[in-house]
Amino acid sequence: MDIVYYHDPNLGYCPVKKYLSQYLGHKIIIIIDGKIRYVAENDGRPVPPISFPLVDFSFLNIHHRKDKNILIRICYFRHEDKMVLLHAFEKPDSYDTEREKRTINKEFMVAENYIKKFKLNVKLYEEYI
Amino acid sequence: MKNISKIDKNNIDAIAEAKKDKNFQKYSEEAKVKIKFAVEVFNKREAMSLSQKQLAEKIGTTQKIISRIENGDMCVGIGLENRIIQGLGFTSDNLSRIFNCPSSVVFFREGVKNKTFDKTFNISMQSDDGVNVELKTNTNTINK
Repeated sequence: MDIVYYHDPNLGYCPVKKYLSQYLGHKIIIIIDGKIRYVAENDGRPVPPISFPLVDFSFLNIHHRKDKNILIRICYFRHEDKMVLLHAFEKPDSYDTEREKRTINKEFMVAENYIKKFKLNVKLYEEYI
Repeated sequence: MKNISKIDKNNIDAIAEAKKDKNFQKYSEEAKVKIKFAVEVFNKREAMSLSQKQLAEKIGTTQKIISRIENGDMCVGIGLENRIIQGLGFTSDNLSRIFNCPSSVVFFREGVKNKTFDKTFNISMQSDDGVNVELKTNTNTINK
């Protein structure tokens, strides 16, 4: 399965590529790359504990624990023979407050919005090297 | 000028940059093994209905270590690895999936008839001229 970055025309960049650029030169990038490729080798299917589906959303997400209480989530979805990396963000491992729930839900809505845009123009992507 | 630098920053491909490192291939192979080990540990633990804490107690470590192993970001020493393999009852199939080595192959003696199995066999072989052959069978009964 080919891996591609979703490219947002309004932002002018690929959200996941930009997110990962903050780890330039860090070893964490190799593990994240390994997880992305492992999921792609499994046709983008959920492979716990690496990737999970999300209830109420049409995309899946790859998990990586950055530190004790911070999880990196990389949202992706499968489109034909492509695994499209949509959005990436960090979230606390456990959270209770309504405010945090709203913030995370907002991130999911961003990913959902990217899917809609991608489906309208399936050329909105950049190759994952 | 400000806008140009902003565009450049947005277009940095951290993975492409990482690949330029001469040790990338080595680290990448290590990461693959850690990820496969994480998946096998998770699947076995779930199949045994154990929590991370219960598994940690069983093999004499901490929940935090199990969490790090399942996150794929920990190099496991041979002692702990052995305890995990024993504690979770790993088979040669589990190990072959982690280390990409051939799993066990069962050969039958002449005269064996209607042998019944309850598992799937994955068989990998390499011929003398370097051709890889992979066979997968879930045949339950072999008739000779």
